[in-house]
Order: sequence, then structure tokens, then C-alpha cells
Amino acid sequence: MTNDDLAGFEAIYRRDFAFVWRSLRRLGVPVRDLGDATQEVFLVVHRNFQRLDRQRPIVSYLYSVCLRIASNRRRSAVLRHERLSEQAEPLETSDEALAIDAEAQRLRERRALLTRALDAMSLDQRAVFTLFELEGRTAEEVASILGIPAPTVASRLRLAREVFRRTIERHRAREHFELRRAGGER
Amino acid sequence: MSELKHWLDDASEADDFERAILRAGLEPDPPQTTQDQVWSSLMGTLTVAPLLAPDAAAASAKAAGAGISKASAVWIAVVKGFVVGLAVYGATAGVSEVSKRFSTPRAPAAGSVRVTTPERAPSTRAEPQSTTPTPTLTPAPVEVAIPRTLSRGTESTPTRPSTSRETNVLPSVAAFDDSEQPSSKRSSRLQDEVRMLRRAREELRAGKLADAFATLEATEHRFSAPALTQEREALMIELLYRSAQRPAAEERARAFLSRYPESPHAQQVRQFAR
Repeated sequence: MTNDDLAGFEAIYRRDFAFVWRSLRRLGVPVRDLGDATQEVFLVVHRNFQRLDRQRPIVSYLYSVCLRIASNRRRSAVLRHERLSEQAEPLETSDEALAIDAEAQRLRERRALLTRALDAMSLDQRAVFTLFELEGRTAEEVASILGIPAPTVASRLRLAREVFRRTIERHRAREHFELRRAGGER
Repeated sequence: MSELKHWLDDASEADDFERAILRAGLEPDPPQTTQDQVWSSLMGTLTVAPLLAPDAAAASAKAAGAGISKASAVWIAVVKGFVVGLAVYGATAGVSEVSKRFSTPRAPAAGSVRVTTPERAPSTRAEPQSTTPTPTLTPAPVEVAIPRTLSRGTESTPTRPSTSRETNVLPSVAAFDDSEQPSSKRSSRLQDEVRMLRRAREELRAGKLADAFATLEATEHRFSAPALTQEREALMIELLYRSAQRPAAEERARAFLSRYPESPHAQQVRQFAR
């Protein structure tokens, strides 16, 4: 790698680090593994740097690497009989987890619920859903990042939303049931 | 497709609760310190690789022998070779496994690995052609320049000829130390792998060839899906070269180059492939 290449690599790293970090997190990589996983992504980028197609947006390549790494980790977690989302914290930062006030607790619960909903999706659906709903990308951008046709984005998003809604409905039903039970016990 | 509305938009079909759940997922970006830590760790990982070109290896061996008479050096070399050889046998728990490993197509050195006194490479070897105007880029170790602000330490090799742009820089502490991950007692696999490869490299630099071999073997057994296959293989090639297994090193280097022609370590490995 020449000095120019290294400078280019570092520029990509600095610009897209947060995107990679967020993407991995939203694809289900637990907080404790985020550092490693992010490093893995950029290791792959470094190795393939000279072969990168500069005509294509780098973000698309980065995301494809994120997807592969998240998928590998998912698979090996299954093989090790781990449940990523229960071992890992829900989508949150560690300092926030320490907060004990009611607002922080509510945020924590909501993130846990979101994590449950995301975990219930397939990785493909999850990628579309998080890029569109959380990353705020347009459907066209999602199609470009994932390298899939536009109608596929729409259909995966629809399915992912259904999964999301089902999870929320189940949560509401459980809460309702517990409230009634608590009322009955009183 | 443009009619698709984000659920976080107030005008979307999502209800308030669904929006609140989604909003909870809008995390802040990781802090700059995290970015720097990962960068530092990444640079450390990228410099794990082989790092002595044949010329440098020869120079290292030469420097190590300076001050000792030629006859003494020969005797020391013979004894050292014998002791090291014994250690390899013990450390690798049997020659058969090693033979098996080295008789695979990927591992060209048939038979057991014989670790002997390092041989001197021809010191007059021509420098490989560099495509860059900076002469120090070749045949230096994996060329990764560490930004000064991020370099946590330098690893100096006294026996190695100094270069104007020494890039063999490693962070002195693991960027992702276990103590920084209170949420999990499990140590990071990648960092463990980096640590082991780094150890193997240090042993290689120190001339502890048997130890280096044992460490590399242990790395292979421990990590069934290694993230640093190329780095490990590059180190093994150098180890073979320095263990007087030049044909094996060359063949393995050629296999490496055909498999990873664009590897950042290809430039170094190419020198072993001659």
C-alpha cells in the first residue's frame, strides 16, 4: 500500500467509521463485539483497497462487508448456542445503561423492544428496515447500497414492518395482560 | 418507490408508540476516542505481518553474531539448532502432526519442520522494483504509516537495519483491553488472535524459532475461523525461511501470492518466493 493509498484508506475510515459502527449495531452485533467487528470490516477494506471500484459508492461496499460480518457472527453465535440479543445489551450505550431515572429506564425498555423486533427479522429484512427507518435513507438509496432492485426493497420493507408491528402488538398484549392481572390481584 | 414514507415522519402510518420505539434506536455516534482506539488497534493488527524481508533477516542474523568468532558461532549455531529442534518437537506435540500439515498442497515443506540456526540470506540481493518514488517503501515491512497522534509505542529491533520510515509500530496496549469491556468477561477473539500473532512475531525476531512455530501452531488450532489468515501465513513463510527451510518457504510464498495477489503483505512475501 502506498502512502497515497493509506491516506485514502484513512480518509474512508474517518468518514465512514460511525456508519459502519451503527450499521453493525443495527444488524445485531452486540455492543461488546462492536470494536472487533468494526475492525474486521476495515481490515477487509484494507485488504481489498486497491481493487475497490471507485465508481461505486464506497458506502455500498462497506455495508456489504458489514452484512457479511454480521451474518457470520450470527451464524457462529447459533453454533455456539448463544442468543446474541439476550446476552448483549439492547441498543444502547453503556453510560446510558447506568442511568436510573425513569426516562432512561423507559428508553432502555424501548430499545430492548426494538432489539427484539429487529432480531425477529431476517438479516435481509433487517438491513432494509434499519437503513430505511433508522438510517433515514431513501428507498432508492437502500436499493443502491444493497445492490438490489427497487421492488425488492419495497417488499422487504413491507415484510420487516409486519414483523416489527407483530412484535409491538405482542408486547402491548403482554403489558395489557399484566396490568389486568395486577388489577385482579389487588 | 418514492411513495414510501419513513415511519419516523409524523405523516406516516405508524402510531406514536411505534415511532417512539424507532426513535429509541437513533443512537448517538460513537465517541472520537472509540474511533481512535479502533484505528490504533487496526494499525496494530496490520503490522502483525511478516516483517523481515530476507535481506533484513540476514542482517539480523549477522548482527546477532557480531563479536563472536566464526568458529564459536558455528558451534553455538549447531548447539542452538539442536536445542531448538528438540524444543520444536516438544512444543508441537509430535512430528506426525507437523508432517501432516506440511505435506498438504498448501504447505509445501514435506516432512517435519526442521528448525535450525538461521541461515544468512545473500546480502547482495537486489531490491524489488518499487512503483513508488519512496525507496523506503520496499522491501520494508508491511507499509502502514501510523499517524503520530495515534501511535502508542514503537517496537524497535536493534539488530535490524534502520530505515528512515520504520513502520513496525504497534500500540503498546490493546486498544480493546478486556478491562474496557465490563459488559463481558469474554476477551475479544480478534484481539487474542492479534496478541498471539504478535507474540509469534516477537519470538521470530528474537530468534526463538521453535517458540514462534509453537505459537503459530497454537494460533491455528485455537482460531477455527481466523480473521488474520494472511498475517499468520506470512509469518509462517518467514519462519520457514529463517529455519533454513527455503524451498518450503518459497513454495508456500508462491501459494500465498497466487491466493492473495492483492494482499498488503504480498510485497514482503514476494521476496521469499524467489
